[in-house]
Amino acid sequence: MSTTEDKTRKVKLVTSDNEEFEVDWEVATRSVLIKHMLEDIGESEEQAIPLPNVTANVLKKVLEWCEHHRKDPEPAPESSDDNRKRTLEIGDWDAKFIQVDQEMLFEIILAANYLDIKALLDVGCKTVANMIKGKQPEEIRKMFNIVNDFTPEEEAQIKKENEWAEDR
Amino acid sequence: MTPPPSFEAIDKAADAIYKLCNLRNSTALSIANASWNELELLDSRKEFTFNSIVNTNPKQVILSLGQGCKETSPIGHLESSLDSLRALVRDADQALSMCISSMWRFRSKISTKRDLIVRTNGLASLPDNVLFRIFTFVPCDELHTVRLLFRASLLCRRLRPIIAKVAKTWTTVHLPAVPRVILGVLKFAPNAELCLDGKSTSTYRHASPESEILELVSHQSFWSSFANLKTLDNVWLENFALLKMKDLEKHLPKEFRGSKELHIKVIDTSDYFQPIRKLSEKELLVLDVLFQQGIDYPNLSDISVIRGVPGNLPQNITGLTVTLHNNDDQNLATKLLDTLKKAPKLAHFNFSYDIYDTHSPLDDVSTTVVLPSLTTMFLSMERGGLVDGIARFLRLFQLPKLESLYITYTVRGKSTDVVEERLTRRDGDDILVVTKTDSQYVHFTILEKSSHLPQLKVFSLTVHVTIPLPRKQESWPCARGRKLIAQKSVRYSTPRDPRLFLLPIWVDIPFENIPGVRRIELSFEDDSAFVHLPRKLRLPLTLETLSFTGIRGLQWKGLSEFLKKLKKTREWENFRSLDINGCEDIDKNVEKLRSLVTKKHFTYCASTGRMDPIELLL
Repeated sequence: MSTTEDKTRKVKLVTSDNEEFEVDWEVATRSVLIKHMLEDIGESEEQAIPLPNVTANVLKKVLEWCEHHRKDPEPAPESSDDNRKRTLEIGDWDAKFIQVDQEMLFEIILAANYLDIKALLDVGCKTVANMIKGKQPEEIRKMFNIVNDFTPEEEAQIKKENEWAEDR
Repeated sequence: MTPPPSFEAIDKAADAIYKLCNLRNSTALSIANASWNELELLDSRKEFTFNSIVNTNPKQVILSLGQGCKETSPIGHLESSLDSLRALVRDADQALSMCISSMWRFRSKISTKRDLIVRTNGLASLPDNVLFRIFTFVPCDELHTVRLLFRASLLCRRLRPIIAKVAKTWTTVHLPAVPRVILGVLKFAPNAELCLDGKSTSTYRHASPESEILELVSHQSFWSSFANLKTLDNVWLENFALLKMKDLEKHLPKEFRGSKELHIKVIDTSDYFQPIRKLSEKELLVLDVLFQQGIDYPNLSDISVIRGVPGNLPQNITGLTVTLHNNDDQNLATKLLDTLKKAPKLAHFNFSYDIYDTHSPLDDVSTTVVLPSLTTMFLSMERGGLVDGIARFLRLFQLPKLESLYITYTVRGKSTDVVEERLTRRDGDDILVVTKTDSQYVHFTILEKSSHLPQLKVFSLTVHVTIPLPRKQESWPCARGRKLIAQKSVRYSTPRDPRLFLLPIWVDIPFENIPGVRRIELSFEDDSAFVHLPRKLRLPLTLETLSFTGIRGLQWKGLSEFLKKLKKTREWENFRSLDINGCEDIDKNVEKLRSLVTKKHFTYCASTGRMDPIELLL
């Protein structure tokens, strides 16, 4: 539970390319990782949180999302038998936010995964799922440059097993 | 002798060649400038050649060559100039080829670099848990998307286990009745809970190979999904019919848990545009196996079967719906009686039976089936010809606890049932009317005298009567300049009856056999019948609701006598409503009826006219 003091507190974040960001505690703690790190370092406000897996341009984008969603309720912890409704719908603001090139999209996903921001991760995953939806496997392969690493024998075997999935 | 070309002509030729060279060189230059430093492939000789070509003006070459040979003839001058030009063009061509070849190698280098970038930053750069999360969002609730995801799992080694893990999270996957598809999904995601669709899609309307069926029925996961089936169509039965019965029985699980309802559609022509056909003996056997004694369906309470009859019913079954059509094996109807005998807990029975013949195999059955728990029966019968079939059916049963009986009876008169008659109208003109072939009135006995339904509370009877025209509409006479409108059924008169009316039907319902009934609804929903009830209505005094629709022969006198009698009893307090709709004899006494019913709920709708072409003439 955050206190009033927490809400006025500032947090320093340092990216992998040594850029420093000072953000509100409420914004920074959308990330579970940062929240835990802040809990670990306690009251020492001056200590910057290093984020070696996130570059400045990506963090800037992530913080933009966190700023917009700073008032959102904390997501419920996920259980192993995750029953969350698997809908592909994305909110209007999020949809606009995630309209970035593919490289940045994957960077945001990786950052959300690393920083443990489930809601942002879901926005990214849903966006990729939407890109996959309705595409033929070859289109997916091309889009994401997936290399076929099966041996010819394996591929032949797979094709045989795969017959049921073909229209007849 | 041909005069030598002038220097002006040579100048023009040189210009043309120069333009040509420029065109080629500009292309080569633009390519070369873009890649020169990157390639570093051209050796100094080629560079020299290339530069010498691109930096030299062929016109100058020609002119300089020409100036150096002024003493030679103009022809010789031109030939040597052209030789030089040819050499230049050849060199340019070689250089261009070299350049193009280098560009291809350069392009390949770029492509490799790009691949590396995409591979590093593409989908493969994401960790497994993220990939898993992505694919859980791809909707997989139907075959099309399942198939797509399955194919995606075959794109690379890494994706295969991830998507297989995703498949294990599927809760509802709708699959058609296609064994190889079900098997494929079961292999792909062995723990997935599948929601099998008992209806085959039009793509898969044929039975599968026996080996696939056998593999499928030996799969335990299949049966757990099968137990949740809501509908089972004929393709499933065809699939099962391929197996040897012992194979099917061997794999049929003894426990089908969770299933509450099962609907079996044995044939569905509307879906498959297949000709209607009868079930094979083997299919009937399969149907029996599915319901054989000993299989435990603890939760199954309702079964609905279209065009089939299960040989046995689970012991706990309380609801059964059977629909049989004209083209079905008529022995199914008699088989149904045997099945019902083995369903002592049956509480609700809904039977829909249409037969276009006047004769039904049920008419010959003499045994009686006791349904000791049956409380509600819906009976929908359709018969060909003006046949009295309801009482014949009801007499097959003893229904000591029946509380509600709903009957819909449709009789479709045949053209052979009626004949044309030429009658003389009152003013002397002849008119054409229709009468029954045997000049007998139609008499429906809804309940036989012996029928006894002591617990019956609700009795509802709806009758549809249709009679075809004996000849084309155009043959009907016109009256007063108006063409007579002949409906699909027409009124007719018999010489014995001075009134001109619709097909007279006498309906006999021995109400005394249902002494405790509280609600009676009688409805004749066709303009072709003039329904007569007995003048004296022996309606039970327990009635709370009484409804007559289209009973043209309902006599005011009989009804008023009953109401007056009821009013004198204590039961009048319980009487709630009277509903009269389209009963002509009541029309002229409606106000009397309203005052008789007083404060009770009274709904009245006058008859709308009979659309009687003969009446129009009179």
